[in-house]
Amino acid sequence: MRTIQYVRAGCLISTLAACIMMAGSARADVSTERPGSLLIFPKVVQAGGRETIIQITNTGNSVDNLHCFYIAGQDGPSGHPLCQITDFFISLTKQQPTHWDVSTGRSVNPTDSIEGFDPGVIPPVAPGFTGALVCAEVDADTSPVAMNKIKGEATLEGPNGDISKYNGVAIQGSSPDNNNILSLNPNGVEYDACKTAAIFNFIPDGAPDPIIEALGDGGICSSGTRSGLGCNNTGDCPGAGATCLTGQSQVLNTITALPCNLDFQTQVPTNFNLGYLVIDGDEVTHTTSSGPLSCWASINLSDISQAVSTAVGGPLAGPVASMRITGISGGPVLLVGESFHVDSERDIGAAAVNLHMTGLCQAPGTQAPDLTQTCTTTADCPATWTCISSQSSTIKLPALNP
Amino acid sequence: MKFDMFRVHFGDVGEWNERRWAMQKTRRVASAVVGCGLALSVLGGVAAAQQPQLPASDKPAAILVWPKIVVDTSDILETSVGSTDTLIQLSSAVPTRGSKAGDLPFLKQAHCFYVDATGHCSNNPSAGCQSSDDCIDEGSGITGSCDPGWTEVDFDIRITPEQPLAWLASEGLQNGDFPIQVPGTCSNNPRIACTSDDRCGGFKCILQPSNAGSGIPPTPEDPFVGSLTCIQFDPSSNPPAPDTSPTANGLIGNAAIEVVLDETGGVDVQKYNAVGIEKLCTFPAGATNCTVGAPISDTLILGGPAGPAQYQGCPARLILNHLFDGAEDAFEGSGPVTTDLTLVPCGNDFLRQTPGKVTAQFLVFNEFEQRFSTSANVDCFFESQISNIDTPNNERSIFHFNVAGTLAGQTIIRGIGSAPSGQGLLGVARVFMDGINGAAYNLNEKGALSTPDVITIP
Repeated sequence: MRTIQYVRAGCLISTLAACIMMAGSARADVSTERPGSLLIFPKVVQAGGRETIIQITNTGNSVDNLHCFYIAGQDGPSGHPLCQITDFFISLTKQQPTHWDVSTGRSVNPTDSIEGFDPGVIPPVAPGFTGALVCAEVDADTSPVAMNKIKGEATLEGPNGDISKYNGVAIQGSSPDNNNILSLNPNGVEYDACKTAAIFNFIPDGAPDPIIEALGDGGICSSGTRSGLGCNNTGDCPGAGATCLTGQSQVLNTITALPCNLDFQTQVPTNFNLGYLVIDGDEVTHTTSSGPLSCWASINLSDISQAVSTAVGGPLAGPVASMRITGISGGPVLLVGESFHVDSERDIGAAAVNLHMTGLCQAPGTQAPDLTQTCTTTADCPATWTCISSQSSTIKLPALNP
Repeated sequence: MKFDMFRVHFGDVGEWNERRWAMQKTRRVASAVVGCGLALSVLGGVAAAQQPQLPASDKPAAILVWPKIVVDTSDILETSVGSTDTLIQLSSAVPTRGSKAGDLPFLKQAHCFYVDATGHCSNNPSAGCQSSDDCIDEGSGITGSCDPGWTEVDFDIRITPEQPLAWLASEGLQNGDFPIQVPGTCSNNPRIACTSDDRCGGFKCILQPSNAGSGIPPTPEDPFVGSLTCIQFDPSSNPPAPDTSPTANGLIGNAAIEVVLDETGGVDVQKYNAVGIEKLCTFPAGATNCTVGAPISDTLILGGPAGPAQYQGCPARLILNHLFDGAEDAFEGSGPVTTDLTLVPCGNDFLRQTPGKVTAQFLVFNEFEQRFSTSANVDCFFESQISNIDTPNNERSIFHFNVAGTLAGQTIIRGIGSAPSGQGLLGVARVFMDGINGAAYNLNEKGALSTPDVITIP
């Protein structure tokens, strides 16, 4: 008997050790291309002639329940962000995709014109809504679970029929505690942590768009029968002495930030600041930071003086620049970038893009990572520094069960 | 002694020595089990440290793939809705060390390949095409066939730490267009360019990382439809070879396909991130070792068995979330939705000019969880409106709203095949409202292939 007990004990110990080792090194991740347990759409808009379609898919072979939260980031009567939270539940069957327009939401009505299994009652957002959507996998008792099965996209439509699209950010979970405080940690034990910094490659704000200048209405006729109208070259401007004044197109950029620290229990907004480091093609760097921000922010790069092109009086030369963004207070943030390409006749083409994510080095004894030092691993950092690839945060879900 | 799987029987006292031996043996067995288990745990930990994640478009990597590059500046192709060009951005995510001398070892080289998948008309071989609709001779009325093509053009870009670069696919970047052309400057006069002290009249030539030696050609033809692959090389090796230094994963990129619309004169922009495939690395004691896998040669091994694998494996499945073609978009009454899918094989033989070939299987789910399937060949480059994947008659397609019956769908794409370059696929999708205004987005990934994909380079 003891023989068997020893053998069984040995097997158990070795199995447990293997499990601990594998769990400890489990590669949970924050990704825009893999399913996760938390799905975050940092930019949701129903304002200014724009609408958003949300698509979410259960990539697993069992039912997946989600507890979702709209965060209203638009300014209220006080001039400060509302930071209002609206939550709802949806349930997706195996491999089920679903969708809804944020302006209309979705009801549970098999006879309505929206075909497909209705995932649940989804409220519409109020007109003028600009904010974010966060969804978390939960079980039937609304306790968090980590099945890592959800993925999604947001399509921003309008105005005038233009669209842009980005992938929701999925955060993978491992083994959440049976409480409603979701711990996003670099060790990934509950959920993986948000990355320390993001990289946005962009055409300097206000610079002409090279393709519009080459192929489209990059200029305005100086005189003649088409005076003041769009042109590509002087041949488009009939009339004696009329010329095409080129360089009238512009690229404008925005970044949208949502802090990873979210409190849906008390609905206290997270106050945060962003740090920016801009690098142009000549490797000249410029640094600055945002003012205080609260709960959600959409920032025009034209408001960041260091991100502005020399074409409109800023410091950035060259056709392209790179911006590094990090949360310098309030914890890490998730970001989406969007560029607006405007021709001389003010027609706009928009394109949203997920930002690249990176870590930052931190010197010993300092309070925060250094925005000037990116890293993937500690080997990228100066001697004695450490690579902070991600930072801890918490998402507090409301406790629905007493 | 009679041994039973669960019970060991011992006889009387006369068998004491056997029992003792049996106990010792049992202890040895148990110790061996524990030892093996712990060894497995350690190996598991090491394996986990090496465990590759899937390619990603949001992290720096060693190989970047832009699945779709389009140039049609004269709006020749029938499928174009206007003059089109692509702005390609490539950046180094390798951190600067704060000084020119310190940065010199971290100069990287992107060895790039345009894959030209533009077809050519049988009745006019110099005319690029995407379908036979592009091959109608207006004089005679004769329609030729659009014969598929596959050629590659390679070039090199030297990129300094943290440097962003961009170029129009139709123009490239020539000598003189790069931001940092000068490999060094004289210590006594920074306006004097130099490569050695001789140029500086007795003073030092301070070398710096620069773009010298780079040249980006325009796409080989216009119209051009194809893809771009860039592999991170170490320019300090002679000859330059794929980078296996600790900073082997240093490239990020994206592409913006811009269309000047015929109908409105406005502009449409479709932007996506390049898909990145990381060099496999281990991290012993805080260091980074990217020499994992078989010794680097002209054959780059992506995924597969742990020993030879040098780079991440390609995804086992791609997931395309889409709206079914023909669905009416309620917002602004903007008309039917269409989605365009581009797939490229993960592996390619650029040495023998043999493109990758994969059969893509599609499994489609609608919002009722109903399931449909089809397949298509990906021969070097695949591009199709999704409702043309399985039929030329869009309205009868499993990807069409008329058949699927719901607005949203999920399509799981799996590559199969036995081509030497592997069966992995990468891709990008574009959604159009009313066939004109579009947006590009990256596909999701699930699982890793157990078989390797191979990129063979000249």
